[in-house]
Amino acid sequence: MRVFPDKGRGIFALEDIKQGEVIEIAPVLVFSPKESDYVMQTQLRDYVFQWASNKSAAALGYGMVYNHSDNPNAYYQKREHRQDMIYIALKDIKAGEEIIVSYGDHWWKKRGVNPL
Amino acid sequence: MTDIIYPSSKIYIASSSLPKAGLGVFAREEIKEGEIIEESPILVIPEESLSNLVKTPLRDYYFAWGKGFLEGAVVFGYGSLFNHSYEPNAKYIKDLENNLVQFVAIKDLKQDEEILVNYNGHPEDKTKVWFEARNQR
Repeated sequence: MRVFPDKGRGIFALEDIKQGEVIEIAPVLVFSPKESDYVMQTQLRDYVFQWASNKSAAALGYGMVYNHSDNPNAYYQKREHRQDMIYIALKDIKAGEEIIVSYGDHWWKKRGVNPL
Repeated sequence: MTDIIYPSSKIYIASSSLPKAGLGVFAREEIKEGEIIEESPILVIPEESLSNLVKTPLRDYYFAWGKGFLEGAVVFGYGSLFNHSYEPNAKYIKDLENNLVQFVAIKDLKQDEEILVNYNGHPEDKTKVWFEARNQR
């Protein structure tokens, strides 16, 4: 992971990653709907993911550090039964390239922003 | 400013060896006393938001942060998953300037040993940690 003072943080490939390879499995911490309201009143609001039944979840590991693009090179799956998120390469990714996922329209709309 | 943080290749996550502790962090290889185990970036939660954070399960995960420890820090990477012990084999160092928490071995660790820190900060501080105090009420 690299940190850019002005752009925030991002995740970068240390080595070439092939399409379909698992990049990371991030355990999550799940919040009830009521707890989610409180989380949304903190700086974590931009980091949490929607979870089943109006719950939300914070991903540990580097799960909350991947940046968004509508042209991503990776995707994630929420595995509710395992309480984790799995990050998988959507394309071949070269060493040094930033790993980017799409948060989905819902993430942006919930925060009052139209996705780019 | 730290430009690059490498995820630690020295650890893995599995069910804790402690009862009811959920997940824990384990040594993937031998780690020598004094070695850095992981450097975790953090997100600062200012004092005014902390009252909301503590109404969620994150109350058991965040680190006290800032001057006077009035702020909180949510720790990314695997920094939130180290379990507590009064006989720890590692310690954490808060780097307030770079918004990092560093985890360092204070004993030689064997492969597959669970890595434990004292949540009081100082490895020898036997003050009851908050969840023990809470469970006794």
